[in-house]
Amino acid sequence: MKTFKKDYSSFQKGLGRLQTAMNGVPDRVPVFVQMHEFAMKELGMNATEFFANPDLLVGGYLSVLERFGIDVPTVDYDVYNIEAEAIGQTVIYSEHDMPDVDRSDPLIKSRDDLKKIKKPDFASDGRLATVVEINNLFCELVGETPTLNFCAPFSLAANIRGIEQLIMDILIEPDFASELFDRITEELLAPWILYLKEKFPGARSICGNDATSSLPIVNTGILRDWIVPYVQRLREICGPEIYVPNWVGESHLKNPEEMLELKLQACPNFLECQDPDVAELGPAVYKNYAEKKGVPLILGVGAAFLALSAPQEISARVKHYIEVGGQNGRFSLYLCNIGATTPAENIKAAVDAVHKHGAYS
Amino acid sequence: MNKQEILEQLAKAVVEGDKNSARENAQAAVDEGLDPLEAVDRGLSKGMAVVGANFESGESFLPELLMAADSFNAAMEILNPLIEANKQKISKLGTALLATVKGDMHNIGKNIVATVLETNGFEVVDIGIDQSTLNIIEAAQKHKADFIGLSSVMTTTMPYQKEVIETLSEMGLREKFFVLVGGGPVTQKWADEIGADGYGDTAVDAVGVAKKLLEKKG
Repeated sequence: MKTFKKDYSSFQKGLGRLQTAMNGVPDRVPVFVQMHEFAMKELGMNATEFFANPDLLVGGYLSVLERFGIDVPTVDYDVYNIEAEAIGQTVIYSEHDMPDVDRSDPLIKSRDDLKKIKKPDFASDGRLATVVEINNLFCELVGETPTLNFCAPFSLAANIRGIEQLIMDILIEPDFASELFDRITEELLAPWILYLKEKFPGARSICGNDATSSLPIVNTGILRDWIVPYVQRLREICGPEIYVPNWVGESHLKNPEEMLELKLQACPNFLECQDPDVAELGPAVYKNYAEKKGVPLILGVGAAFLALSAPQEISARVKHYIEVGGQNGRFSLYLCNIGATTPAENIKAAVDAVHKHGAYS
Repeated sequence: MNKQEILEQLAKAVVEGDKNSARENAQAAVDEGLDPLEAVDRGLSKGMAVVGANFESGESFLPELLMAADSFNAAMEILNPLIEANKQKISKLGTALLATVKGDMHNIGKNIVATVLETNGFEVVDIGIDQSTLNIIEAAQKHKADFIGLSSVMTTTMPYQKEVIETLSEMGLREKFFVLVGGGPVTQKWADEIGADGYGDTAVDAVGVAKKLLEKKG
């Protein structure tokens, strides 16, 4: 059994840098990542072991973040599965990959199944208690409350209903879809988030993960009428610290600002955008829009690009994003969902480039 | 309505995802004695081509594609019995065997490719998600596929695309199938590196690549 350090309070410097970057000009552009699959490989663990063990998920993960010079510590696990699993959705565990819901066997097959969506038992259902343990351990090791995570209503609905079926529900059986979203939002997510807030009163940000709410999986009509309203409902019930930042796909639109406007309705305090949209549209589009709206900007370098490019290509892209996005501060850089096969030298190239080009004089 | 109007209405019903109109106009085609294959080729498929092009250009998204496919299928429920009765068959360009590789549970991209291929005249056999290399090869042989389409949405599962190609070579079957690869993290560079025959950045690209490969084959 591997053991890890008991004190990661050194990350407080990076957290301070992020906080300054959200409001103005820090000493350097902060960099943060999502890299649970990469960390698992770095630690020599299999997925079954890694995703079930809070010591590995927190201590092990922080040790990898520290080794690669990442500024901002995060808690990272299979955030899309937790609430679905707690109400009975089958989740597949395998030795090599992150757990994932069994998409061949959705929990909600008919109207009658909607009653399965209810307030869970936080102590015994699924891995809800493990999530609390993970966040507790983070507080202990870092000395700060982490960003708390949940699966946002639309992605959760897709996970328990199937994405194609969910879209058809919205289009041809809107009453059924409304009931599905109402139950997910009010009977499952809101009680769970309020419970987390009670357990972690120091939590300043509570992040809904919602990659499924991206174009071309959905269109802007569904974003506007079915996705934004339920995020806003959660904010009404649970508080303004709730946000959903990670939809992608604005580069599909003739007018990308149409989607950026919707993004700010679900995440009013900053604008987060990532490749391939940023690579397609260029970082200036985002910087200009963020400045126009008076919000800080986070740009993400894409997972596929990080996995498959040469280190010098990665350095060049990071430099470009920083030069454009980092003007006048209010900017952070994000390395998206780094996979197990991403070469370590590519991550090093990205972080080195942030250190080299991200310093404000 | 005359024949031309019925065909136009069928195409329009698909483009607008209007299932009722698709049914009504399919019935009108039957009542007016139209060749059901013509109703498919010059009506419904024409509509799907518009939806596919709109999807490609970013003017429409998966919901529109699903509604179009739903309308197409609703019309086919009415036309199919006639087609079967006449013992006619829609000429197929080729057969594509689609699968998401082992360890990967994602199906959205693959399903879009399946829909677009079908509506462009391909026979599609979709064996689903999390498919082992041997399952994929076995199914391709069983269904006498021209293409094997491999989807991978995670960088951790991309090596299984390579494994399928290598295993086909080891089994002496590489020349029997065109192998197309796709999925979020998959790139042309990766496709070239593993020796795939084609790569599509989008579903419509994949169809274009498949058609070109068939032309080359002759």
